[in-house]
Amino acid sequence: MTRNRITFIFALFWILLLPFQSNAQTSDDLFNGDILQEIRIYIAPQDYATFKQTNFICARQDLEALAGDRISTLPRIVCDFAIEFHWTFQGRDITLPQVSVKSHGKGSRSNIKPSFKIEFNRYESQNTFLGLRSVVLRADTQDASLMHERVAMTFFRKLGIPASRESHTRLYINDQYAGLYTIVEDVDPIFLQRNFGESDGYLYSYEWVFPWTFGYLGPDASGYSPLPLKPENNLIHFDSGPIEAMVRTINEAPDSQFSATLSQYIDLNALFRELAAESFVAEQDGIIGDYALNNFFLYRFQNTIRSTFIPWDKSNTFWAIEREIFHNFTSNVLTRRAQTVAPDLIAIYEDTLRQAADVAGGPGGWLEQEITRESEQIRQAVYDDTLKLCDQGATGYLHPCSNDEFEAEVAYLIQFARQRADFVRAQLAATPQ
Amino acid sequence: MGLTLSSRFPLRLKPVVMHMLQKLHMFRVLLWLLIPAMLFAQNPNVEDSSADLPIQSSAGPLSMSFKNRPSLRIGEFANVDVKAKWHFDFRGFSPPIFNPPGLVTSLPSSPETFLLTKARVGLKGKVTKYVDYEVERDLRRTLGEDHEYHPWKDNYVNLNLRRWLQFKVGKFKMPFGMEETAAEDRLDYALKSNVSDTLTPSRERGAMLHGNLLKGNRLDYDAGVFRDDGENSGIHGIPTAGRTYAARLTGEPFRYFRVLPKTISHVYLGVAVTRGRMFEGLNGVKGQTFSGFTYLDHMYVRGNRMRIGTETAWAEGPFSIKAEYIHMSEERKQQGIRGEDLPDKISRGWYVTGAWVVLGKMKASGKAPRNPLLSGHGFGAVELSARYDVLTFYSAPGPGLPSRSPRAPAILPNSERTWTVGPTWYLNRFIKIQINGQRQRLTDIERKAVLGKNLFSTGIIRLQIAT
Repeated sequence: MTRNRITFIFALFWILLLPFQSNAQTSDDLFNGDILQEIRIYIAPQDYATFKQTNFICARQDLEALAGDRISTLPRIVCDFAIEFHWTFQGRDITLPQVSVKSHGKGSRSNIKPSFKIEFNRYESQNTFLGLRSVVLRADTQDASLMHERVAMTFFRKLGIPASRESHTRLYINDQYAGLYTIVEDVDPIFLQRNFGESDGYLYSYEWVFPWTFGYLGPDASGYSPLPLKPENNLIHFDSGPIEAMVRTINEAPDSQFSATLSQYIDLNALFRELAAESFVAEQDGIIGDYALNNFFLYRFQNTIRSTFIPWDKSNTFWAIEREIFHNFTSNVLTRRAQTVAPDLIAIYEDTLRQAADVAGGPGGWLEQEITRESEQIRQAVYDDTLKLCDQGATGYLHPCSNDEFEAEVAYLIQFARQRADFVRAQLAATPQ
Repeated sequence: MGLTLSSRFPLRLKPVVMHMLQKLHMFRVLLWLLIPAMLFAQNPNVEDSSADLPIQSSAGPLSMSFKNRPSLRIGEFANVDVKAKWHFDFRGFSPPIFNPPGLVTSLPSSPETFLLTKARVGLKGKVTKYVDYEVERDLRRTLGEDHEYHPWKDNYVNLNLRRWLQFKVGKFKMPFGMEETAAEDRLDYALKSNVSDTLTPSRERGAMLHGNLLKGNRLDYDAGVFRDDGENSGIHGIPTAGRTYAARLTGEPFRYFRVLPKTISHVYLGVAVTRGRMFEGLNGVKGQTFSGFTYLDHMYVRGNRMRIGTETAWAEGPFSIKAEYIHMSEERKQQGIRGEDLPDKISRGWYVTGAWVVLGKMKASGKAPRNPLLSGHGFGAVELSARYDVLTFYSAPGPGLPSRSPRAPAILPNSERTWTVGPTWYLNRFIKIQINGQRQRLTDIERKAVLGKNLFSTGIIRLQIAT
């Protein structure tokens, strides 16, 4: 009898809590790819005007200061602004009254459709939103489909590579539709903890300041960090000695011990899997892209000298269906030496390419289904987006993008999904074992 | 694609080399400029007990004299005194990082140990008994420092019409703040309190009526109108408020009551007020540590900035005590994210300081020891002093939770509490050495000063040479 009463009370309690449990939000809800999200931000109009004035200056100034230039505080440049942040979840308005926004991006910066970095913890360091410290709202200004970034990152995660979670959102600024944006999970301590189970190591973001292909820049560690590897944490003691040692090893490790020696500094399995994933999606601006090293984070695990690479900014993926699988391998010191003296690493690379081809599939495969699903989800939001920009061919010139260009790019992506796997398999078959 | 800095990157050493060359050049110029001060400092005639009398090198209508400083006299008609003030600081910080002034910083820097913090030369004098004047310029920008935003210091003409009616026009310190308006070569510490540095206006261009309403400094007044709100509230040399009115009443009112003991009758009291209209924008005053880290950033303001200050001082023999309290309010009309009015930002500070001359004796003027070293036959004088100051920022209650956002309706309060202690060795009228230790504690450790750090220490050794 007593047991029945207890069971009844627990059941009643559970029923009462059910509505609350079903409504509890997590970051998975924000990055739920099945839903087109809706985000509204409110910013003082004068702040938004200043944001656009300083959009290009802030990033440049930051880099010049890192490079050791003496940058005067005059004229005053304001780079961070207070906003009110709203996210619509299951019809409910989730509000954060005081968070910070700053501009985001490099070559993709635009005042017509700017990208934003929303920092939930800028004013309260312990403050998080759904457990996140910050997110990036990418305007996808170089991509007519507005999908390269999300499709590529989703594909990476499907291959088991730690990569940012992403979803699309309609963004409203002061109640005006500002366009379709991609919500990108930031690479920060929370990302590190989720993916590696730790976050107290050293995190660096790669800043493209000159075309570097892992050539040795000398024994001075300051030649590697704070530029081009910009410290993202441990700002006071950003220990760049192990980076110098890593690059020296890439260049000077004996041929016979290349993998063994270098594996002290780099998680080579993870790196060559990531390189293969980038290669499969025909990344033009990645670790071994056409502009030399670019678009990655480097994380050195706590209390070790071993680092791993984390992908970032995949807007220039799906570059060409017939982009060769060993494209740019000879121009990068690490991949060139691996190709020459480390068949074990090349084997990882090729195995991952095969796996990628299997995962992507051919016509009707996962990649085509994902592209079709996403394009259907965002189509109306893209059509409503009168500020969308694109830059086919990465010419550096952003121009207004039409709905026809969007449809053409979607059609191209589907064609890519149907043909890429076969092309990659054919290249692998043609590669001497 | 990233931004192209490739042309600059390999030349990263260039700014360092240029900086070193500039420093070398600076030392050469310094040496030349300091020679007169050093010569006078070694002149034993200057600091006799009768040294305040002029020592004339020639007779006639045009003469040179050396009353504490080189002076050219044109009979009784006019005189021109040459002034110089030099501060050489050796500083150390804990944590050993700082934000260099005037520069955009992406990462904290290692602090420089040696700093030239004052390099002033000027002329001061009278034309008849009715006109005083002063011209003073800081030469640090000339010597290569690029963050000295206001090289022109006191530059004014003062008309002495009556004891109770004087008119001052030009650039000079606004009449607010006891520590701020004191002569800078006579401060008890190497650094003023952050209360003074942050909440008082300092120099500005303007016009002011002033004088003694009662004889014997029992009641003095100042009332003026100024073009902007003073250099202290400016941001990187740019003013943050327009026309500002200031008024101050000071004196020793207890001297009026003859029944009171002499000790009490010499208590000094003062009250002052300023009011000016701020320029709209990110122009609220900010809080920062002595090492240059911001712990309360500028906030968006619009409307009036108002200061109210009270001050008191007492001295008896080798002991002195001073205290000051300042309240500043800044309006934030229509500065909410959605354009709503926000509660005023309040900045409030006070300090108490005490000093004790433990070795030797000072002259009544407080400017120099009675038995100077080098220029006399004594040791000089050593004064021990200690100061405690508190500076707090907050707002009137507003909707929502308090936040650190620059547009927060309710500002999350932050404050600093600073102890400053150390001896000052007055070698003679021209030279003094100050050794100060400062310990600053912040209440809100999440402000971006240095995340997680709430204790900042500074050590300073200052050599001052002034004529």
